[in-house]
Amino acid sequence: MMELFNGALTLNQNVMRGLREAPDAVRRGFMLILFVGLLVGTANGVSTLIQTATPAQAIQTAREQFDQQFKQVVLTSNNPDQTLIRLINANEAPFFTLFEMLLTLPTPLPRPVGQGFQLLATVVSTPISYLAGMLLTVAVIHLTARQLGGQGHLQQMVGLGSLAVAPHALDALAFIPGIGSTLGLVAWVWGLTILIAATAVVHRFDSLRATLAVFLYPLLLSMLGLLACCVLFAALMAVTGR
Amino acid sequence: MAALMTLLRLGLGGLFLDQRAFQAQRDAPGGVARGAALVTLVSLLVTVAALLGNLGESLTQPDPRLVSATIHQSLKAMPWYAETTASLPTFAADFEQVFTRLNSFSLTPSPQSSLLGVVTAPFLALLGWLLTGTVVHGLARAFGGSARFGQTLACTAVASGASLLGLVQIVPYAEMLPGTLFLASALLALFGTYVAVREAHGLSPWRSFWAVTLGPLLLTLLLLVLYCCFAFMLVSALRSVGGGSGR
Repeated sequence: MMELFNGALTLNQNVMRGLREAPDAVRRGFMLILFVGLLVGTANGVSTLIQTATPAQAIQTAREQFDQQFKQVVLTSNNPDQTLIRLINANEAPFFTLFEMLLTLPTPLPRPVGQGFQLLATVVSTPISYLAGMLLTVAVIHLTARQLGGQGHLQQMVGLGSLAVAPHALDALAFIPGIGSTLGLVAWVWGLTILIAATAVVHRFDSLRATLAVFLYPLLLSMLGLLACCVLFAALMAVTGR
Repeated sequence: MAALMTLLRLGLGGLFLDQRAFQAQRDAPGGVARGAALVTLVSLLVTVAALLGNLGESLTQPDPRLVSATIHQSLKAMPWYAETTASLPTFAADFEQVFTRLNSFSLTPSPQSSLLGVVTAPFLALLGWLLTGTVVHGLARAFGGSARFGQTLACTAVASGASLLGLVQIVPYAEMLPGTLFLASALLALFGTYVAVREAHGLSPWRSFWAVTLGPLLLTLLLLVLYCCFAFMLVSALRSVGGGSGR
């Protein structure tokens, strides 16, 4: 497992080729996703549990997040709506009182049991999220690669595509204020690089063709989306112009 | 017990897209019966897991009526409610109407509905497996496949192993990001069906791809056409009513 994990992070071609030829490539890939997912899920779950251990802490965390976002919106807006600001300020305290009342309503089992379930849920849900994202990405890339003349099998692509989840182990540090989002971006770019290398190994492509296989459909979809937005905007202008 | 373990191993083979599991099913004499047992077992396990998870959720949540009453009272006590009611006299009645409607709508599945799912899910899973198998078999044969109907059914049953991901629902509040479990299971099942067709019929990758995706694509197209026809008829009806009253 650790060999596969390190091999993925260092873009080790021998490890990737070995996985491509393995009959249980998918199982090994899924185990890597499970390993990374459980690691990240545990870190995030524990972090959330600490922040919301008591109703007072949960409200404090929510209030801090709200204040931060509210200030950001007011500061970035050129002409903030004063009526809206007054309305939010007047209703903020009663809203958090409601939140507190909801958190302290009686439940059949004590609150810590529910919190334990929430922690477990975060732990087991993270690998599923990574798996869903990876499968969707791999489906699109495999289809494009086959259209571009690739000869790799679906199982090989799923197995090696799973390696792209390895850098997301950095998401376990997402709770650190300030650097969490930066680490997320680093993990995403690193994962994309692994995906290109994996596509090249599975379909025996050069780097350029592998990059094209990874980016072709997302780029086409983005351009189509942009075109649709332009057409919609033009249509709206024409309608309102009349 | 040994038969149960064999079935679980077969399901795991489907989950991990292990082509040896698909080949074994293709060549097994009682492949269809074993496939039916696998589909039933997987759906039963998943729905029981979901039932236990929902039970855990309901035991750690306050009474929904109490939640609703608390929200209702608190919202009405907030400054925005008093201001809006003063400026808009009909708002109070509209608020009550909307709140009553929202109250009857719940996203959290109840243990009762999960219990019903335990009874119905195996039948629905078997029906879905038979329908998918029939459509896929017809298309695979049209694309030059050589397997018998029983072999197609036996192999596509292995793809139901993808649903084993749903066992995660035994943990209450699992699936923090809604839809991810469905997406992962659906994609894995699609991949599994593709491998099943390829292994059963010995088709090329592209032919296997079309044999698996053409059915759902045609169904989507048909639904889209029906939706457009319905929308067109509705607009025409509304126009004729509007034109009639205008005259």
